[in-house]
Formats: sequence, C-alpha cells, structure tokens
Amino acid sequence: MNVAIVSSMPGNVMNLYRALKGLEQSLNVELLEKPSQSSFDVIFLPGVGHFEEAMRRLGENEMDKFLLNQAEKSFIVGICLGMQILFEESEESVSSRSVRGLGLLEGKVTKLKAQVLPHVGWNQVRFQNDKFKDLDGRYFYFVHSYRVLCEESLVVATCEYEEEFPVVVMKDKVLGVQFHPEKSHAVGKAFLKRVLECASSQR
Amino acid sequence: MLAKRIIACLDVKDGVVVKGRQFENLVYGGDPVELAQKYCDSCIDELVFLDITASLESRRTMIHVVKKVAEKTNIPFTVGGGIRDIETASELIYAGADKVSINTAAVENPKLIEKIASKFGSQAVVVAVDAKRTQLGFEVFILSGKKATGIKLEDWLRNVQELGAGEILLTSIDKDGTKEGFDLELISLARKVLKIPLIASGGAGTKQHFLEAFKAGADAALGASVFHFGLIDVQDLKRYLSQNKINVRLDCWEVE
Repeated sequence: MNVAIVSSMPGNVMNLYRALKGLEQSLNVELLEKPSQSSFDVIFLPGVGHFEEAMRRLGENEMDKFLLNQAEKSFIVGICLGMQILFEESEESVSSRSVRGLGLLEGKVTKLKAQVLPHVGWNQVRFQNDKFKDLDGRYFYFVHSYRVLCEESLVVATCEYEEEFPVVVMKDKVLGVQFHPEKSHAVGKAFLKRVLECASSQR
Repeated sequence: MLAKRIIACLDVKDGVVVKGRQFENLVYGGDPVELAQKYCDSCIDELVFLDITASLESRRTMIHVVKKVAEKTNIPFTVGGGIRDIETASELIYAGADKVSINTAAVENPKLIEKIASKFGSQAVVVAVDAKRTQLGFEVFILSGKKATGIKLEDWLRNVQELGAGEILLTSIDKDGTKEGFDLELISLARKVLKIPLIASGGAGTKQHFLEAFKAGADAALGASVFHFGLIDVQDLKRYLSQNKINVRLDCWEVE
C-alpha cells in the first residue's frame, strides 16, 4: 500500500510516520511537501496549530489544489487540525472572519464551549460504526479547542467535553479524526489499522 | 468524559533520571528511555522530561533522549529545562516532543510564550510555575526555585494565560520531594484563576494525595520518585481513583 503524509502543515509529522511504519514494515510511507505525480492509496493530512495558518501553508505549496484533485483517487485522512480543514469553513482566524477550508466535507468548525480550553487529555470515544465496534468506549488522546459541526450522517464517533461533538467523520473516501491516534498508545494503533482497512476496502 | 491525567516526571541529568528533594540532593533513578517505555505500558497518561542541568553539552544529550523516546513510545510527552529561545524549543519539538515547558525564561522574557505558541500552537506551550509561600501569599520563583521574583502567583498565571500558554505545570516548592501531599490551597487558588488546564506537582506520596489534588481542581497530577521507586503503582493508583469517582483512563491494554 502506498501512503503519503502531507508534511507542509505545522505539526510533528514524524510521530505519525513512526506510528504508520510501526503498523506494517512493508507500508510505503512518503512525506509529501509539494504536489506529486505518484499515486497514493491513502493521503494523511496531520496538523496541529492554527486553521488559517494551515490553509495558508497548504496554499503556498499548492497542496490545497493537489488534495482536491486527489480526493477522487486516494483515500484522504485528516487528523486533528487536518480533520478540521477538510470542512468548508472555520471560525479560527486571525482576522475574526471565517476562513475557507478544503470543503471536502460539508460542515464548519467552531470553538468548543467548555470553560477550560484546550480540551487536553484522554477522553472516551463512542463509536457508532460497526467497523470500529471493538474500540467503542476506549480512551484516546485529544488536544484541541475547536470542533466540527456537521450532518449526523457523516459521524462515525463522538465524545463529550461539556458538549457532545463528532470526533470521527467519514464520507466515501474521506475520513477525519479529531484525536491523535499516533499518541493514543495501543488503542491508537488499533484505530490506525482500521483506517487502513477502510482505505483498502475503498480501493 | 475527559479523564484526569496521571503524569510521570523524569528529571534528567546528563542522560540519566535523577530525583531531587526540594530541588537539591540528586538521587540516581535510571535510564529515561527504558523508564518511558515502562510507564507507557503501565497506563501512565503523559510523561514530562526535565533537563535539570541544561548545559550546552547536556542539551545535546537531551535531544538524543527526546528522539529515542519519540521512537519508542506513543503517548504525549513534554520536555523542559533551560529552554530560553524559540530555536531550542523548535529543536526539541522537531526531535519529537509534543510540548515544551518553559519556566525561568518565561519570567525573564514573557514574549517567548507568544513566540512558541504562534509557531506551534498554544497546546505546545506548557508554562511551568514554581510557587512558594512568602509574605506575598504565593510567590513565583525561578532558577530551579532559588530566586524569588516578587511576582504574585495569581498575576503571573493571568499573564501567561493571556500570552498563549496551553497548560500550567504548577509546582509547590514547599511540598516538592516531601511526599506529604500536594499543596491543595495552591491548587484551588490556581484553578480559580485559570481557564487552561492545570497540572499539579510537588508532594505526591500516597494515592490519597492524588485524589485530593483532583478534588482541589487539578486536571492532571504529576509524580516522580513515587513512581520511579515503585512506592505507587500507576494502575493501582488509577483503580483507587476510579473507585473514588475520579474518571481515569484504565484501559491501556492492547486491542485484539
């Protein structure tokens, strides 16, 4: 399986790289800073930090257009901020105007309502989808202050932090996850394995 | 529901783990990478590595340790000690640290908090605050607890929060290394002021001490020698907390 990780985003790409290589030595994992001619079964879009900054960085490298073009061919997986930018727009901007995301999924990103932010630590995830059934109720590691607002039909899993919000979303060949599987110990590893299974069943 | 976190702190000096009592009299504790792996499998939620010498030479050693830890573990970890500029912070984050913790440098140059936060996001900046009871109430100390700053704790907490700190690691100098329990008054005071997560540190000796810290308002509690020397077993501690109605993550086993 050919896998790429978009490395033009802020955040520690190597942690995800190591997590993926740890799943399967035979996995071919490439770091992608600029658009590439190669074809990939899965493209991971990691990211921590700021929505507007992330979109700016993607735009600079023309990775935004590349990802939109790839969406037909590859299975796209956004992690944390990478998940949020899959959506149409976000409140997280410097100018306090909303910022456009990639728009691969319908919905928008808003700030969490909780008193104490960021939402940091291990939280229990409820999976509604059969594919992830054995992970239902397990704890995953989160770090974020914004959440996704989207249609129920996209939601694969939710979690609660003073409000309930989607933490795994999926539609066709696009999957987004709010927690950090690469930092979620054994359950994170199991989750990544399922994600690759989802991707191969979509090939 | 969000779980309360148990964090193990590893004070590292020249590449080995040591434990100080009230910041002095260092005792050898073991290999940081080996310990990190052990903790990872024992359900610890996070790790903190403090480079307590932070000379130029030990900095190189620390970067090597950070790389190794990132390779061998898959839970979040913070690195601190002697980080004075954005270059050092960046180097540690690129080596694999999820967060950096700054203490003295934050007081001397508060702009550093903003700089790291705008480059890596607030979640990457832990501001470590060492507080001691003085005539000011709780006063902020720097340089490993050796120098008083004349800054009141509450003022400093509001300030760093404003500058973009993602979390506060609050150590009671009075309690550190005593195993008498966390400074609960300090924790509840900080909790009232803060809108960001609070990690309580200094004084952990028994399981009950952790329970008290969470009840006083800590989001996470940190221990060092109690874990390194096996005085408290992490899973046992979590079971105890869970029985006492504290939500913790107990399910760190492998998935089939």
